[in-house]
Amino acid sequence: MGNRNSLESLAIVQFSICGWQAGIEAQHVRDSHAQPKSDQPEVMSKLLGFTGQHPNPDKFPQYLTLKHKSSGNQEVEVDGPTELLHLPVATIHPLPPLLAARTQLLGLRALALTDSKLTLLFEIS
Amino acid sequence: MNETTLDQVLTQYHEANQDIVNVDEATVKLVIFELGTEWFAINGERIREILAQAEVFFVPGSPASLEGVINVRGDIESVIRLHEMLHLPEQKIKPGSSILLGRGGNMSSGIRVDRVIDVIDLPESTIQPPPGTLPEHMHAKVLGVLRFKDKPVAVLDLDQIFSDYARGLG
Repeated sequence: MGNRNSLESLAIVQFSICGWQAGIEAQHVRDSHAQPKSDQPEVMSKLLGFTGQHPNPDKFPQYLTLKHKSSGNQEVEVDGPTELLHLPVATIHPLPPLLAARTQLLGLRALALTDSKLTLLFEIS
Repeated sequence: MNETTLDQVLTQYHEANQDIVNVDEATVKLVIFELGTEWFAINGERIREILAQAEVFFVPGSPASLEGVINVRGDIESVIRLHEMLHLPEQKIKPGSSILLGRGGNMSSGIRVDRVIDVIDLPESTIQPPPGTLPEHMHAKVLGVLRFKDKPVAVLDLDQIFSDYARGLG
């Protein structure tokens, strides 16, 4: 995956979770593929705390291999399509303090607003 | 004959003016608003803007009282509803509702209100200490009370409100 971060933009891998647009930094993603490589890939929506949210009936699964410093690679299932994007830095915002304090999503670090579309930016630890 | 000079007159005038004490009472600017059937106020110094229209983006994983986020000229702010915290019946967003952009407890956020009643300067003396009859859950959140247009108005402590909200108390 690309690692072309600059001061102007942030490379992210964008995907869907339960109908929401989400992304993680591309530098933490080794690859994206249509078929699982492992027997039981983790499901991203569960990793990020989307319990109780309605699943997207139109989803089609895609698989990301995440790079972990400590535990090596981790394969996770997301809702496709997956895209590699360069988000302008100006569209990326830290979480407002009350949202940061109260969100139940795990690893939610920032929000990106582009063309009236909200993208949830996560950090996978 | 000692004639009065203009200098003397003017000097006397200026000296007299120096003795004038400003007896104007200190005033406080309040943003008075409606939530349900109740009226509340927040000190105007704590309200940065009043937004009549703003597109609110829902963020999943948020409590029901957190309506979403808004884009205020490039800055993202949360929008919260105080009904639960103030033990008011939850209501749908009414036409004519507004978002107050407030600061408190070193935090900022939008607050959804059903209607802005007035933004007004009032003598500080019109604000009375919270009465003992105030419900328990309001004690820490109310700085004082006043009557405005024959309605009781509770002046909210935004520091306390935001701090409590961040701690999950609302």
